[in-house]
Amino acid sequence: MAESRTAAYGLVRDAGPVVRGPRGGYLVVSARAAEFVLKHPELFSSKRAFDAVGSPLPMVPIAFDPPEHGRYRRVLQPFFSPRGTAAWQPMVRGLAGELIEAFAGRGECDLVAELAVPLPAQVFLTLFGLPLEDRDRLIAWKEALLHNFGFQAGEPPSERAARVGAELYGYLVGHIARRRRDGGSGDLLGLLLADDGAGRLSDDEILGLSFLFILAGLETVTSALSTAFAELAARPALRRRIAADPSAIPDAVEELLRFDGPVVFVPRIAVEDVELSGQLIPAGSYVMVAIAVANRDPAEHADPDTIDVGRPERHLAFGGGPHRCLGSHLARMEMRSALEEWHRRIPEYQLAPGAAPRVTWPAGVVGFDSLPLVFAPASQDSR
Amino acid sequence: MRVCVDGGSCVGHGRCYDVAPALFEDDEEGYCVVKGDGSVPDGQADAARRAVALCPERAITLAE
Repeated sequence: MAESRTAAYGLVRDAGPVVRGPRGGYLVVSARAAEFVLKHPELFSSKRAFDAVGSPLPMVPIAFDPPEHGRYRRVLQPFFSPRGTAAWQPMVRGLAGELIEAFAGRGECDLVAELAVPLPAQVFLTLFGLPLEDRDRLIAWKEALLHNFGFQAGEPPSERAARVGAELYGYLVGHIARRRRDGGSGDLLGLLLADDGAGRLSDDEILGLSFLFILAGLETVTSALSTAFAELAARPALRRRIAADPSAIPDAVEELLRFDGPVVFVPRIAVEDVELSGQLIPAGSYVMVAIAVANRDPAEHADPDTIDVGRPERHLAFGGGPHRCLGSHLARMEMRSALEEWHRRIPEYQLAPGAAPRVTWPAGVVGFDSLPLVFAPASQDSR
Repeated sequence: MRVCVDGGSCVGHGRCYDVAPALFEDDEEGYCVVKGDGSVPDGQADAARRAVALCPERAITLAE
């Protein structure tokens, strides 16, 4: 897994459409079975699967099932829709450009430490009106929580997760209370606080959403950028294609997410006994929907272990059904912006000689901790 | 040729209006809206088929 997802996913894929996992859980592997689980929240609950994260409040909206869940989605979707997120695109593009400018003249960088980690953290801070100086503190909290979460989902939160969760909670409570008192606009938090619609979120619900945003919206984008750039660094024809024609970037992002997306599993709990692809799953079972493996299912994808930008096939990298990733449009926009800003300045690059990036596994999401890249230093006027 | 969207299945992935903006548009919440009566004009047949194939919810159908 650390060296090759293709080999690891191939082994899991060959074990069957639905297999018994460790500790009594079930692993849903085929695209067809994965789609079925994601589209049937009445049989496979998301609510109960998210108790282990260390959030002192239920994470809005993932820790709810329909019909309650629908209210949150109706309130939140306008903010996270393509129209809603388009408003933030200049900001995201600007942040990506600044981060890249900082190393473009140097001829080398650690893509993870210098772009993939700071970009989504700064986007979150900006959207919630938090000072950018808090970036490293935020990243440290996020890492502590995710480190603990990962594959241990389904178990009660550890003491450490609960403590770090409480610290982050205190930080966010203080900030939201301050903003409620002092006002402030021009960001997502301002819009959420100013919402006076019938279904508007309470302060506690905004907190639950912030928590989810930090846990689900930072590491995923970081990891997806790290694997995307690793694939591009190893594939001269593909990176030259997108450097020459940025209109190919959206399709490239989709294919890189299908091929090596950051989310390997999404968890569910079986509500009743269900037979799925010939396997009986008893009520109460922990069910891991292996979307990254389903995205390599040959029944859905021709030549699934090959990168083929523009392939006409659906993928499940953002899940599906009512819990489809709320942040998918923001995530896509962050990835597209980062790739555009990078290739405009640095069209040609490679993995640093001697570097052998490995992913950490098991983990909540899959990505590289470090990705050293080398390139011809970009001169000021070429930027 | 005509495209049709099952509004009950659409959850707002947004793939259709991304790849076939002549045929689909997004509403405020990101759900898909078929443009006009869904008739596929000349030159848009491939885009229509692509939207059908990319929809993770299989919410789009194409009547030839």
